[in-house]
Formats: sequence, C-alpha cells, structure tokens
Amino acid sequence: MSQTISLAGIRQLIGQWLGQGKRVAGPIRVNADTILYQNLTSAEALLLDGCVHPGNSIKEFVMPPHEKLYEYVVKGRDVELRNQEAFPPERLILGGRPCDAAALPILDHIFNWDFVDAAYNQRRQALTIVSLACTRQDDACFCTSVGLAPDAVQGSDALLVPLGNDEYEVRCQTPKGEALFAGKCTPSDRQGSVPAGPAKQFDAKQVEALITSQFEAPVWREQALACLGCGACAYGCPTCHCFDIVDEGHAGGGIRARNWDACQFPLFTLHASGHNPRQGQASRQRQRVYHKFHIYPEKFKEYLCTGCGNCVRRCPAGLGLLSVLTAIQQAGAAAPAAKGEEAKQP
Amino acid sequence: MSRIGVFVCWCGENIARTVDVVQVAEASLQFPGVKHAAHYKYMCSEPGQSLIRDKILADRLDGIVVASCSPHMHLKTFRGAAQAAGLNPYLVEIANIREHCSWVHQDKAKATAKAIDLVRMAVAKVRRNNALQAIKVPVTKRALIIGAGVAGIQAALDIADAGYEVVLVEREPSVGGKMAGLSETFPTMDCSQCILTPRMVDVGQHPRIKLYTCAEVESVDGYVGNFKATIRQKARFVDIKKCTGCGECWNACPQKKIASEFDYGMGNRRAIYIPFPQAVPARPAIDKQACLKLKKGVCGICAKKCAAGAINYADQDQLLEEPIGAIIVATGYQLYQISAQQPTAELSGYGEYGYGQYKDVIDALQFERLVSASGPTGGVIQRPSDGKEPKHVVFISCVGSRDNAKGISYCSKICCMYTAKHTMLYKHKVHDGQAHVFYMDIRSGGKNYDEFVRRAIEQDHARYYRGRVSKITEENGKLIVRGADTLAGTPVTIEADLVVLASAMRPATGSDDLARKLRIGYDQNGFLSESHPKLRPVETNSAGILICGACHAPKDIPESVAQASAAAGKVLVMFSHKEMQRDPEIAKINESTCSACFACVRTCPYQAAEKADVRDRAGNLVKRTARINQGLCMGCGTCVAVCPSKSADLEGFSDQQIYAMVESLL
Amino acid sequence: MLEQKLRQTCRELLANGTVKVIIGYGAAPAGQATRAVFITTPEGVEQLVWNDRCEANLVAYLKRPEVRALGKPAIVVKACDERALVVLQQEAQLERANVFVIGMACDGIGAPREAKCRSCEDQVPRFCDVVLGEVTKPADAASARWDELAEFMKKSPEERMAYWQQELARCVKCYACRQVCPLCYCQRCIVDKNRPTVISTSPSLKGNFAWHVTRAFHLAARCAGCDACTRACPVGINLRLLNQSMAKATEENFQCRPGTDPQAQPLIGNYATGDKEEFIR
Repeated sequence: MSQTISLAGIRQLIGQWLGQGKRVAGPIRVNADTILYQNLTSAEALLLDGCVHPGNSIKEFVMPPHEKLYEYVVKGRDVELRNQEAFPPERLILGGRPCDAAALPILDHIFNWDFVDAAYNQRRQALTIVSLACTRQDDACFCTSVGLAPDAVQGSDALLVPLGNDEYEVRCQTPKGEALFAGKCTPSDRQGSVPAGPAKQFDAKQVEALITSQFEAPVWREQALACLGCGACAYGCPTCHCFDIVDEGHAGGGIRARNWDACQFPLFTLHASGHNPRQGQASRQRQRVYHKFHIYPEKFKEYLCTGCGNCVRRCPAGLGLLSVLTAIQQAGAAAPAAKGEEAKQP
Repeated sequence: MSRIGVFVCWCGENIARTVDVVQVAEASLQFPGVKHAAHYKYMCSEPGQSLIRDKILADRLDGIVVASCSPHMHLKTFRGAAQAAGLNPYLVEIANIREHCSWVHQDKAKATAKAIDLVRMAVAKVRRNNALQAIKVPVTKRALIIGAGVAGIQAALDIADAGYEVVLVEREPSVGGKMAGLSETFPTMDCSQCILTPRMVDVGQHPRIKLYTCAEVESVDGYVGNFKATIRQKARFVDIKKCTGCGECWNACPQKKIASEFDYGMGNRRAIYIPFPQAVPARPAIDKQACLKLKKGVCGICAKKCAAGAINYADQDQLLEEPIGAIIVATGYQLYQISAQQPTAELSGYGEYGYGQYKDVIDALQFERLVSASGPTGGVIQRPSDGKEPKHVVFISCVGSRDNAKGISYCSKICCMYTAKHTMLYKHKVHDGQAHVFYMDIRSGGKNYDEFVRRAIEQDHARYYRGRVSKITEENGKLIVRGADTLAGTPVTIEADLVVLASAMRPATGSDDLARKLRIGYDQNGFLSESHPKLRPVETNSAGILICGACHAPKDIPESVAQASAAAGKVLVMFSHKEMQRDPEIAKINESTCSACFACVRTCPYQAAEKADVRDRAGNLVKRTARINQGLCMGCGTCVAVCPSKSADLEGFSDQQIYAMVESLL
Repeated sequence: MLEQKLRQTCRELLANGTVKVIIGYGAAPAGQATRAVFITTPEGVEQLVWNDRCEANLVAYLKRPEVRALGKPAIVVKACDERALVVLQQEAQLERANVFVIGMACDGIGAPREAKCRSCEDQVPRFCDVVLGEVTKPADAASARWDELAEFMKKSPEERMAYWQQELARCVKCYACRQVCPLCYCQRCIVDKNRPTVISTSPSLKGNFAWHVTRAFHLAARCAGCDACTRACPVGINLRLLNQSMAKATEENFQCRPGTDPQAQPLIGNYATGDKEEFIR
C-alpha cells in the first residue's frame, strides 16, 4: 500500500505554501544552459526533473553564501552592536536530489561540534525537504561509491519516487514529511522503483586507507596540474562548508558577515607573515580529498561527500573529485606505501 | 590609538568671520584619535608656531592637523614647527578652511559644519601618514641650455660665471637668436648687435661654456641631477678649429642668390656662408641643399681657396653624449606666417593683406633687416620691389594676434612697442616720410615704455589710426591700404609705398617636438608650460628642467634677460648643494604583489616607472617588477590609477588615506 | 588525420628536446568538453585529441606556476586563444621565444556552433611556430559579432539594470571566471586586496556588481573574446555581454582589436597625437 501524488497535486501544494507566505525552493531553469535550485515565485516555475542534477546544491538554504551575523554602529566614541534577529522563514524544498538531502545530516555534525551554530540550526529546523529519487544518471554521478543510492532517504522528510505519467509515490520519512502530505495523497498499490545507480567507481574505504600512505605521491601534482584554483567545485558541493568572516563597513558602522570560502583559493591558508603552508594547487587538492575522505570520517564517521557529481560538472578545467579519487585508487594499487620517498608536494 | 593635535587658526577675521573656529576646535576633540585641540588668532605667527611646538612636546603628539589657509601658504612653516619639536615633518596635515571654506561661503552655520568636516577628514588622513624622509639625489653640476638667443646667452653666462660648466646648444650656425638681427631696441634705442655681441663673444670664449652650433638636442634620458643628453652635431662641412674666418671661401662661392635666413629673405647669401659678420663662432657653414659640390659633385672652389684646409665635404652628423644636472630651454620664437599657407590646421592666414603676393608688404623682422646698418641694404630703407625710398609707410598692428578667427587669441606683447620704434627709425632715416599706424590698443606698460610711444607720436609725428585694415591692393605700383579710424568714425585709405605687418609671436619651430622629448608640457598655442604662472614662472613640472624667454610666452628683451637669470638662479640653487632633496610624497610599488604588466611604465608622464628585477642573494631572478625612480617621480598618481592590482600607491596620499577621509564623512 | 599530425608534431618536439611539456587537449567522455593535458614524454602524446569540444583556452595555464615549473612548453591554440597569447606578449608576461605555439585551424566549437564561433573572423591562428589543418567550415557573416549586444542595447537602461541585477544575484564569487581567464594574471587580484578594501569579497549584490564591472574594465582593450569565462560560470551568468560592450567601445574609439598585432603597444598607457580630446573641457 503506497501513497501517490500527481505533478498537478504537487504544484497545488506549492501554490498553497506560497499563498501562506512560506518559501518554496526547487530546481528552475535560469537560462538555456542552466538549471539551479532557487526560490520559486510560482508553482509553474518548478522543473522537478529537468536535469540529472541542478548546478548548485541545497546547502545555500542552511548556510547562505553571504550571511549577516550582526551589525555595528559607531556613535561618537561608542560602538553599538545589533544582533540579527530575523528568524529564517519556513522553507520547503521540492525536488532535491537524494545526494543533496543526505548532505545535511553529514553537515549537522560540524555545525554542532565544538560550537553550536545557532544560525545554521535555525535554518535547518525551518527546512522541510522533499527529495526526488533519481531515474537518470550521468558520468559525473558516483553516489554509490560513497554508500548512497538513487533512492537514498537520509536527510529527506519525504521521498518522491517516479511512477511515470507525472505520478509519484510518496515515501514519508519523518513526522514533518507526514504532516506535509497528510490528506494530499491518493492511496495506491503501485510501487515506484529506480534504476540501479552508477557502478561503483572506487572503493571509499580503500581510498580512505590509501590516502594516508599516498601523502607524498606524485599523483597529487599530476592531478592538480589542470586545476585552475577557482572555487566552482567547493561552492557547488553539498557538503563543503568552509567560510570566511568579514567586516564590511566604514567609519560610521557596518556588518560582520559570513561568506563562503574555498580551500582551493591560495589565500585560504595565507598567513599574515606572507608564508603559505599550502603553496601549490597540488597541496590544496590533496587537502580537499583528505578533508572529505580522511579527516571528516575520522571525526564523525561519515564521508564529507555524497557523490552528487557537481564538482565534475562545474569544473571549468574538466576535473572533479571523481577523477582524482579513481587516480588515487590506481596509484595506490600500483605503488602501495610509498611514504617519504617522493619529493615533498609544493 | 593616535595622539593627534588639532590647531585651528582664526587667521584674524579671514576665517573667523565666517567659521566659528572655537566650535571647530571643540568638535575636533570628538574625532577618534584626537588628543588635543586648540585655536589661535594667527597660527603661522611665532607665538602660534610655538603653541604647536609646545603641545607636541607636552602631549607627545604623534601627528598634527592645522586648520588654516591653503597648504601653498604655510605647509612648509608648520612642517618646520613640527620638525623643531622633534616630530617628523610629514606627520603634518592642513585642513584648508580658508580658501576652501571661509573665503567661498557666507552662511556661518553651514560653513562651520563644513570646516568641521574638513578637519574630520584631515584627522582621518594624518592618522595614516607615514613618517617619511626626504629623498636625496646626487647632482651633476653641469647645465644644458637649449637655444643661444639673448635668454640662453644670459643664462649660460650666469651659470658659467658662478663656476659651473655649461653646455650651450644652438640650432643655427651662430649664436645670437632674433636679437642679433634687430636694428635698435626699445626703449633705449640701443643698437641691438652692439649690446648683444659682447655677450656673444663672452659665450664663445668662456672657459666653462661648451658651445655647440649647428646642433640640436637629439634625446635626453635620466632625471633631475642625473640627465644624459645626446646632442646631434650636424654636419657643418667646415672644421671650425682649422678655419680662420678669412672669408675667401664665401667670397668665391658661385652660388650667390640664395635667400638669406638671417635677412628673412630681404637679402641673399652664398651656399657657403656666414650668417652675419659678427657671428659667433665666426666660421662659415655649407648649406648642403644649395652647394654644388655636395649635391652634384662639381665646383669645390671653396676648398681650393681655403688656405687652412678647413673644408670637409665628407662631414657627417655626430651624436655626442653629455652628462647634465639641469636643463634650461630657451628656444625663443618665430613670427606667425601671414599668408594663407599655415603649418597647422588650427591657424589661418590673411590673404587680404597681400603678404607674399606684393613685394612691398613685409613683416616686422624683415623691416628690422632693412633698417639695420649691417642689413642687406646697409640700413637704407627702400622698397623691395624697385629700391625707391618709401614716402608713406603703413604699419599694421595685431596681425594674427588677438584674433580667434586666425587661431591666435593672445596678445604678442611687443608689437605696440616695436611698431612705435619702427615709426621712429623710419622717420630718423626718411625725414620727409610719413608713418601711419593702424592699431587696436597701445600696450606699453614697461618702464619708460609709454613715454617712448608718446615720443613717436609727438616728436616723430607718426599718425595713429585706431582701426583695422580690411584690405591691401596694388595700383600703379602703390599699395592701397583700406582701413578705418574708429575714433573719428571714418574710413581711411592710404596710398602706401611700403606696408609693415606686426605679426604674432609664436614659439619656434620644433618646440613641441623638443617638449615631448623632454617630457615637459606646452599649451594649446605651443608655448612651453611653467609650473605655476605666478609663483614658479621659470620652472616646469619636470624636475630639473626650466624655461625662459619667448619660448614660454611672448615677451621683450628685458623680460627675457630677467627670466634667463631667474632660471640660472634656480639652477645655481640646485648646484649649491652636495645633494638635492626631493619631497618624498611620491609613488611606491608593492613589489611582492606587482605583476610586471608595466602599464605604469607606459603611462608615467615623467618616465619615472622602470622595469626592474628582484633577485635573491645568489643572484637568481625571483620575479620582475615595476619600480619607481625616486629622482623622477612627481607624485601625480597616474600609476596608482592605472595599476590593475593596486600595487602602486602614493606616499602621503595613499588609497587607504583617501578611503579613510571619505569614510569619515559617511 | 589531423589528430595524428598533431601527435606526431608533439612527439618530435619532445623527442628532440625543443620543449619540455606539451599543453594540449586530452580525451573526455562523449559530449563533454575536453580537458587540459600536460604531456612530458613522447609516448604520452597519444592522449592528445583535436575535435569540436576543444573549447578551453589553454593559454590560461601559462600563468600557473606549477605549469611553468615543467619547463619550456608547446601549447595548442585556436585563433581566439592566440589573441590572449599576443596580449600576454605585449604585457611582458611571456617571451615569445620561450613558447612553442602550435596553431590549429578551427571549424568552430560545439554542435550547434557556439555564438562566438558563428561570427569568427579568424579561424586560423597567425603568429604560430607551426599551423596544422585547414578550415573546412567557414564562419557566418562577420557582422554578426555585435548582434547579441546590439539586441540587448535596445532595452531601456532600467530594463538593462534589472537584467544585470537578476544575473549577478546568482554569483557566489567562485572566481571561475577569473581563474580561467589567461589575462587575469595579477599575483594579487584587486578583489583580494584590503587596507583598503576596494571590491567587497561578499557575494552580495554590491560585491558582485563591483567585481564583474571592475573585471570588465580591467579587461578593456585586452580581452581576447575567447568566452572561457562565460563557459566557466557555474551559475550561467552571461559575462560575454559585459566584455563585448567594452570590446565594441575599444574598437570604435581607438580602432584597437586586442591580440591581433604583436607589434602594437597595449592601448592603456599609449597615445597618438591625433587622439580625440573632446572629453577635456
């Protein structure tokens, strides 16, 4: 026995939520070549399944690219601080991919670790996520290599599984999901199913073990040569979460804000002295893989990667984690435990 | 946190009448970083300065703002006061609340608010000033003077007599310039050559003056105190060391009918020639366009006649380098070409005066040659057409000058005086002649000048008509001059035998090319630009390069001589020190962020940005960078504007200071 | 086959030591853009490909210190890429003798052909050490170059402002546009400068406008028109339009087409005595 809903029904739901003043976000077509998760202005704008994966991720709804933390006003010789009081509005995300939804429980660890990030938590709690199970994949997808699947449910409040003919099976996962779809679905005996998902490209456990022994291997330098050092991969990644704190203002006042940052920029580790411990792109690439496949699992028992493939699709140089990880696996198989023999990475 | 002192000046009533200075001082105490604020009637006076000095010491101030008149007035004064109290003089800023505030506004409330803002900005700026040190530059104590007319000669003698070497470069075969071709000079009626030639001889014989004639400046590299000038010594075809000036060559030359440049076409010279008998050096040159030997390989008589063997047909141009510390440009003037053919599109001519068409219509310099005792007619005034003595001579003023339609809007200053002089010289030679002058105004402001003009009218009976001439035609050998007498309200027609046109003074040919070579400015008329018209009339905006004489603006001989000595004086000030001190408020490049695109090198008007290498201790190239030559940079900030990575910045006007000033107002 | 010829040329260059590395295009899955490969051994040239997905401007790699450390390169360029190479030469960023340039005659990128390829005026690079291939598909009328811009400029200023506010709101300051651009080689980009901060680093509307407008200005009279920035933008901002508006102004006022004459001086910092001066009042 299953619950189903039609696309028209979904659009009606969106219309109701928008009418109630709530925010709804989902994939929309921005121009001929670009589909992104954005706030919907109308129910018709939603493009539930227009692409394998939108160009961005849903992390920007829990951690905006630019977030005002507080304001300061200079009055004579005194400074007045004004907190950000506005409570993030409730938001429904419709049509998130399972790999995006699964990123949020992974991120919850770091935002509640040594510091409880109230801004993140408030936005997180205000979110209801309805994911769409994937019936298509492309060469960039590798969710199965990190233990996920096209119909994974981690992080979703409900999962829509296509039945064909614009009908979807609704699999509620949480009380929030159930409350959302209560009374909106039609009982049915049809069950949705999805294709198997991409073949495993690499063994994550093996890579996790390999990279410690491959710290000085030439594979990093080779893989990083084509990298141009932008932040497209990190900013499109559902799990990358590094940020920069900036003060922007003038003599009379200003704001302190949190902006997205990426470890691929050379400035990321530049010291005030002028020394940069990650001087070359190879060491920065290596760090990214380490963070996702060694440091984070060591701390939180989860990979900081959901295999969504955005890094591959967005990279202007045609790189992405997938090729790096497969190269490491190959390099590790070819020359195991090559510790300390290679020249130090630049 | 800073410890800034703010000192607000009343300037008597100049500021205090419109700005509440007490309020300004009180408000300043609220600005971040201000430790002390005071006001005083005359901050630049000795008690005012000592107020500043005492407070710097008592309150350990680390920067001061003086709210007062323009920095042009007293920045130096207050810097000196700070330095006397042990504070670096570059930690001083001025908020101009006089010229920028009290002198241009009337509403006291608003003016006070504005003055407070001006002080606020100055405080924001001075908090970010660096304690700079004056830049020291070595000086080569040799001067280059370009142009050996009366101005160049005067400057050369002043500097050489003070004990320094001078390199004097003259384009023509002889020194002397235009003054050597004049007959008599106003207001004294001295014979021009008589007063000039002793100076010319001094210049030719002076042990410390290295004279180049038939030479031009090819290029100048380097910067103030350290220039390298390349002189092109053009081929003269006569070795002036061997030549004795005996004259056998030019007397024998078969090419006799070449229009003499010195006589402005009123007379002829030979292909091998000396421009005038009193030339310095008194040695001939060969005009390679006219010489039969050089053009066609025939003749060669002069070489045969020369007992000293000084003729050298194989002579070539030579490029010679001279190290120089300062340059004076004294390239003088030329007269405006009156006929329709003009050298630039901005100028146009007077076809209606028949110049170039009628032989008896001449310009002022041509008339000087007719009158001159050493001229082509031996000082006899005669018509160029038939040699007869003219009984009626018309002098027309303002030909070209003060005429926007012709492209010259300025007054050429000397023409009123020399026209009066011309009428007197004419009358003194043709006792029954009548001089007629058509004028717009009479400008005779110098010492004894107006008395001179009155003499021409009252004693030598020159007739003056206030009006312009519309047209000159020729009838039966006479020139019919149609003009107007606006004071009488009648048209005037004169049958003249000779017409002399007082044409405009323009800068000498090639002065704009020379200005570009030296990187000094010139105005839309081509006259070289001074640094400040009132307070720095002989300096240019390029350090170490000065101007004097008619190349700067139309002027007469006394002024040219005075300016030449002024320029020489400035040079002597420079040479009197072991090293030069330059203001350190110039550009600097952050060499670690510079990407060596060299946009600054291309853009710098003073060629002060250079390409440089950064090397490690072993001499390996680390990177290339741009670097500012501290001797050349004038702190204009063009490099700062053009640098894409913002690696260039201005000391004393840094980006951060300017942002802080703007932000302090928001 | 052209690909074979390319590989052979590169094999020889490496074998006889003329260059130490080939920067070229390597294979990619069907329908995807090729990616840069750095071949240092003669055998490795088998990785090189040449097809209608060789869209990247490889000249951008000449600014990367990791690539420079590999030694004297040979680089595969199309005519549009070569313009960037010429500008780098004019701006003292490379010595022409230190790069071996392999020019490829180009029939255009993508199917259907990209906008810039349809109006391409120079399908064969002109200043190379060797040129391979011939044009078999000429571009359409050259006048189409400014069509998109002309169409856009028909909108009112308010409409255009609304358009850019919408486009630039998507920018997250990933700087892919800057990193792929061969002419963005400043070692410390102006956006990374503080004390004072000239351009806000925040992906706010103010920070995004400041960044993109400044970048367009800094590329004026320098941009090669390769469109790498537009392709690289992960959120699909039409950066080509911004750079084209600068390029049109430069061509119309100064008759300057960047990267087409290695002997020419860069426009910024250059003057001719005949330059217009009406703006000086």
